[in-house]
Amino acid sequence: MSSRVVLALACALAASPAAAQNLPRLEKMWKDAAKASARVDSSARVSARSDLDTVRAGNLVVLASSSLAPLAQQIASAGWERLQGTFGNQILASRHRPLIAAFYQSQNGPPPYGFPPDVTPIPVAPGAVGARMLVPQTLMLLGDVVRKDFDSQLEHWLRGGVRTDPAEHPSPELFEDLVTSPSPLARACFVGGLDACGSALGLVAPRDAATEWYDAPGRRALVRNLFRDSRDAATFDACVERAIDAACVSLLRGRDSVYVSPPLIFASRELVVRMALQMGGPEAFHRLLASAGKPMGYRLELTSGVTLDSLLLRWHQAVVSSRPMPVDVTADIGWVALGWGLAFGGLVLGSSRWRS
Amino acid sequence: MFRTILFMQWTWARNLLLVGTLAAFAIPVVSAHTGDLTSVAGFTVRTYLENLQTIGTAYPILAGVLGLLLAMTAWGPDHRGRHVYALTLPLPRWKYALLRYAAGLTLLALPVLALWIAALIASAGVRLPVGLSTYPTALATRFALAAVVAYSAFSAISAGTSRTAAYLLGALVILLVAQLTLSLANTGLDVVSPAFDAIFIWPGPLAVFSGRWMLIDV
Repeated sequence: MSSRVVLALACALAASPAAAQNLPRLEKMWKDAAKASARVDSSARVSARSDLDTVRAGNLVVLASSSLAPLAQQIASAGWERLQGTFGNQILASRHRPLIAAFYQSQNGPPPYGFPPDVTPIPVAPGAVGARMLVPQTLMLLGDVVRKDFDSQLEHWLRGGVRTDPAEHPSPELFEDLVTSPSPLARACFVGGLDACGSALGLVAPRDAATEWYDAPGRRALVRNLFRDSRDAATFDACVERAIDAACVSLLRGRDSVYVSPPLIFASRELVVRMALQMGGPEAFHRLLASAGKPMGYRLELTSGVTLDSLLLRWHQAVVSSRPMPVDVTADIGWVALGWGLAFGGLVLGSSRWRS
Repeated sequence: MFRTILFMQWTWARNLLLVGTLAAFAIPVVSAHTGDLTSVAGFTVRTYLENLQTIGTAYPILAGVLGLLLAMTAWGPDHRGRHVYALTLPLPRWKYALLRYAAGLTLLALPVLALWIAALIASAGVRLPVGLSTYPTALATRFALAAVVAYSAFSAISAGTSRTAAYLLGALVILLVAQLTLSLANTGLDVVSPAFDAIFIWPGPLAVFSGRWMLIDV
């Protein structure tokens, strides 16, 4: 029997009065099964939630099993202080739902079955006793929850959440980026040009990023890192092989060209926002959100309560002060190395020639 | 007595030591390239630093190899000669060991000095863009400390009995076998990393070897 005949027979049977009578019954069975499954899930969630202790600090709620409750207590107090220090009253407002984190014991796996779905799950490695590592992890994940409040302009400019660490001590990575950035704007910023800092941070929206952010060698290097598309192969070669800047510009042109990366990494932008929030007091985050649609520089002025130049000056000072130590020869390292050298030397003096 | 022992160790180690000294001189000069970095694009600066970082791994390796070679050449002939020479000297064992150890340390000064001079020359010959600095003395100090630690550690093993070396090797094998067994049993336990951290992270004995070794950096 050919497959066409089988298909025709199946269609005829499905269309028959018997099959039509079966359909409502099957649909009812399916709905009953879904309801039963939902009931099981719900009771599992209730059971899982009732097993968890609740620790509250401000608008932060931490759910944890009794064994993790002391840890949750420490993290809730320290975490809320830092969250409020950065995001101020905005996350305390009644319209803002509580930030809920829930701890579960796991190395890095998913939460157990029945775990509350409306919370930020945070795995706690078995044996972890201190809050030192868990506080930043919890705050980072909760920062992502706060990020949902961002308007599209802020989200597009920042491309990430805002951390809650004190802005005066940024990562040395920002300094390295500032002094090794391919853009001449970054170098001008490093030597103290605040206008250049503003442009390098993207606070002044460029009309043409390729020509405003980079010089000719920089544009050529940007193109060299691109995929050589066969449609633009001649232009690509003109730019890379013959160093014709017009060819490079034509490949990179455009206000939001995806090929032109910003002069400074996004972590630099995050630092300036964090600094503005921490300077601006409890209502700073609210002012930042309320000014959506205005230029980013103006929004940061409103947020911080100081002029953009003052904010950029503090940002510059913080970044420059985070200069890393490239060749790490501190007194501690030196003395310890000498100590180990002497200790091994002592073993040499105590060595014996009599045993083999 | 010290001069005699120093001369003997120099005779045994001179070929290897000269190669090591040449390498110590060459690494900073080759890595820094003499030139003007101020006029090049930022992309080149970043690539340049990445290359320097890659080449920088040669410094701790050279310090370790020099320590090993000097320790082996200082104590090897004694073991091969069944310690007859040492026994003929009118010296207590500790004093003899001290002389040998000090002679090795003196010889170690040669490559350290070569590296310092080369680093100073390379630093003087390169013009850097704003934000970058040279660290010739810090680099040479760190190299000296690393070479001293390596030489002392390998001397402690070489000057001791074969049993000492066997114990050390045995401990290493036990650690690796234990890790392999734990991995096969899928326990998720890691015994090698804590041991590695204890050795290479401050205040471990080889902490001076860790971190970045850069003649030119931010």
